[in-house]
Amino acid sequence: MKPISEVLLREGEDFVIALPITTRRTTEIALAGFRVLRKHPLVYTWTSAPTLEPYGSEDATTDFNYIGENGLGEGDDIFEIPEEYPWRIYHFGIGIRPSDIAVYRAFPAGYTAEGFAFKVPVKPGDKRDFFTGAESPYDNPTSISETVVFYKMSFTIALANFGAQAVKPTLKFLGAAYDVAMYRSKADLETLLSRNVRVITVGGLREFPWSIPEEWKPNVFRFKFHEVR
Amino acid sequence: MKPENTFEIIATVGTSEANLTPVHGSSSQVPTNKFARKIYAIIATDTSGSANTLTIRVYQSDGSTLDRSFDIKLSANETKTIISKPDAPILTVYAGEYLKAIASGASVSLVMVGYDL
Repeated sequence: MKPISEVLLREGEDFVIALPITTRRTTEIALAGFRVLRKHPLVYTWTSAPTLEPYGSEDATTDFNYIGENGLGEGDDIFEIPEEYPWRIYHFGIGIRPSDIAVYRAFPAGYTAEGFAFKVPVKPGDKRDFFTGAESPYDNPTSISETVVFYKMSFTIALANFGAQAVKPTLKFLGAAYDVAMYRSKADLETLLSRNVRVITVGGLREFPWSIPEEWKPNVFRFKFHEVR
Repeated sequence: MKPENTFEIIATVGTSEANLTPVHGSSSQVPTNKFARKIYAIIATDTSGSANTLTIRVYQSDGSTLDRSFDIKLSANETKTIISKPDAPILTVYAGEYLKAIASGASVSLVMVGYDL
């Protein structure tokens, strides 16, 4: 896994956000193309996580909830982008301390981020589809925790303690906030794709309901999966 | 293995068997989601004022079948320090096993340092 700093974009670089329309026999996705105009550092040391009891205890896990200033699901959501910022996109990794804490993600809220194609969604404490501080250390978050959030994209996490001690974990969100300009034609997007532009699949290519800023809508175009090269 | 992953076990061990539970832990059983608990430091002090024997016991996952044990003999008021390196631990307790101790005399102050793999 690469350090998250190696997968962040630079000012002037292009990228495409891919959102699924249908993933049945003919996969169709919606693509939105952007250029990074301004890159702001994004660092948040989150010390408001709850204390998790040792592995095996009832309170060794949390439910999915938003990351609040005052706790998990408490206070203002630090990743809620206000409507005044439709052109602001967060791109970050999550560092975890101590290493025995597991993070499960869901974005949008209610749709867990999963690699395994199980029919039953992952639950906090399950032995799959999480990452710990071993994979994404506090001081050097890695690409396994890569997350993209924009206005109208909700982001929640759940925590689990896999260690033998009660612990109050600390997370570090490290990455960048981009101010972006949007490409406005399908031809532009086709050109971007032909240049091997970075395509970011927010939440994967499963079917899930998604929302995007109103300002994006005229410039989001449908592509069949085989057209994405 | 990082310092953040190590923990201490601190106990006063007398003539009744004591569970050796990590600080802020809830059980002397090594979690079943781990491979093993590695102990790389043991500090034992006799506080009874008489010669004492500390017996470290490892129980199987049923919690009652003794699997192995060893003694640390202490003179009156003696402190014995057995310290290795984290990558050369001196005691391994496997997943599901229990770590306990008992002393022949009134009490032994015991500190262990280790981590779970």
